[in-house]
Amino acid sequence: MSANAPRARRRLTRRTRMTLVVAMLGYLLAIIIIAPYVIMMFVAVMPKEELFSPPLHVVPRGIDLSNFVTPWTDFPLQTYFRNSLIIAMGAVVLGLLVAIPAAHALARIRFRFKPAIMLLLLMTQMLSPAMLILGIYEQFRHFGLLDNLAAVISVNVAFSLGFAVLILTDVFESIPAEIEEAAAVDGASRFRTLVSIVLPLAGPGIAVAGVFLFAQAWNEFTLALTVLNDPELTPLSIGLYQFYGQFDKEWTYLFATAAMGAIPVIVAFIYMERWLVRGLTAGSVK
Amino acid sequence: MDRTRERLTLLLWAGPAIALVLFFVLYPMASMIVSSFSRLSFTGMHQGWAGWGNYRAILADPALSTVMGNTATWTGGVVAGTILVSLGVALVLNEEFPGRRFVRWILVIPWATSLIITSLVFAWIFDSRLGTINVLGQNLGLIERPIAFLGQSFTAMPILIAVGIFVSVPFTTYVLLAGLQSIPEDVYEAATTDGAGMLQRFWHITMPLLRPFVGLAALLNAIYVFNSFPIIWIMTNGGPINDTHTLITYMYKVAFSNDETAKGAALGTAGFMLLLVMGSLYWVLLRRSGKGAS
Repeated sequence: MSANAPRARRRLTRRTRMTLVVAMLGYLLAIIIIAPYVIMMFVAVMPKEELFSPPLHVVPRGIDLSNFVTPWTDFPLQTYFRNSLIIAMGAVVLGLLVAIPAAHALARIRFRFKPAIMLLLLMTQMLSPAMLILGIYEQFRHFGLLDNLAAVISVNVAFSLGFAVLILTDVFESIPAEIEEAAAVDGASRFRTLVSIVLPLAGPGIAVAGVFLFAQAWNEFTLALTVLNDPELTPLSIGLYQFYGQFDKEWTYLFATAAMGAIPVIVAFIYMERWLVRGLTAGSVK
Repeated sequence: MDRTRERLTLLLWAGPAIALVLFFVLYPMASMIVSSFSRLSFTGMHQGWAGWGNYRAILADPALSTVMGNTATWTGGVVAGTILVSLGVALVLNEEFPGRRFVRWILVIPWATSLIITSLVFAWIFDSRLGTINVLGQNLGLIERPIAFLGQSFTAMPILIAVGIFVSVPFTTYVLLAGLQSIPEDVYEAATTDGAGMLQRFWHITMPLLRPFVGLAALLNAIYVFNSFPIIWIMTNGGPINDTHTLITYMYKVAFSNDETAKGAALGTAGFMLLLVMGSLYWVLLRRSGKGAS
């Protein structure tokens, strides 16, 4: 036993050294990833004059928090945030409303065309509104859907459905069918069973699907750029792009607004981080 | 009878999802293909058929070879870079170390932040006058005068690719982490008992078992990156000249800035066909890895 002690100690120190190296690499990684966003915050809090006055510098000397307030009065930020919120919440509600029953049916009912439906859903995963934008624009014009938030929500949901349905199907499949069968024997309808038994058990999976639907719609750019021209319907992503397109760019306001727009989604993602790895293995897709 | 009821339930339950995809994904796709064979007026009205005319027009476009070359460089560069970086990141984040949870939270940020915001931040960082790199470079005496990083082809494309990698690493890392965690611990223990060192364990256990996940991640990334529009549109708008235009940004420019909708539709359809090839690969790979797992 005593003969083993030095060897054990040596292995322990090797392990500690290894942990140290890994930790250092991990921290370095964190610094690299956060750096651009720190720079963004530097600009967001910098007094406007400081940004342009030589000698130019990166780290702000003064802090001007009015950058977070002035845009609300100088630009239609309320409109931008309202529209983004409508688009994103609409996508969550419509997306879950459509994806949950579809996923449950795919998980529980055996039928011949299942691979065909899966393939159809996978296709939405493969394509983006950007690739089909000309077709979408043509369709919107033909059906009078230009400048229509409900139509934008529907397209966002249609392109996220592949992910949402696939991940939820896996979640539902992981719930033992016996539980549902028992409820059916007791006379509960398929719908009752879903609402009162399946959904409570599928919480994390539904949260992941919901956050993805939200983020995808909140961050969408190409579709909104193309089919929303009414200033009253401009979402935040396009609002930021228009800020940027101005000849005299208001960088401080741009990044203060961007920060305010990014934080809700970042918080939601961090909240569901613990389910990400499981969610990804389950769905084998984004 | 029970069969018919089940079918009815299925139709009722999966119907809305299928209808949504048919109307908002398949219809526009068909519409774009039809447009690509049409003669369209300046305002986009159908004025008869063009046969392969629009496709001949894109083949005759002198910018085509540049655009296709860029598309290949962009997609290949981002995917290869993303896989390499993510592999390293996943290996690090798979080990226990103090603060790992915090590092994982930070890793999520570029994924959660919209491409618009991240692109704008990098547009600022590389801005030709006030940008962080130019200011730091001058203050440290590394450069004498500001450089228009995004205004010259040989720096613009590498920067775009770096940004593409930056935003793709989080998702890819999570896919690879899922793969690493699917490898049972006792396989490593057995190898260690047999005297395998760290490198040997990596080459002979981790890599082979991780390969399906790497393949899946590479393919998904290829599809996303090929589809990606905002980074290039915001940071360089395809410039200088056409030197950073990819198929998708060039299509947008042709259709909406040059008002050549039919030609744009032909470009879009060609891009879609390329995606279809990638997508079929994805399907095959997914089925194969699914079979391997069960």
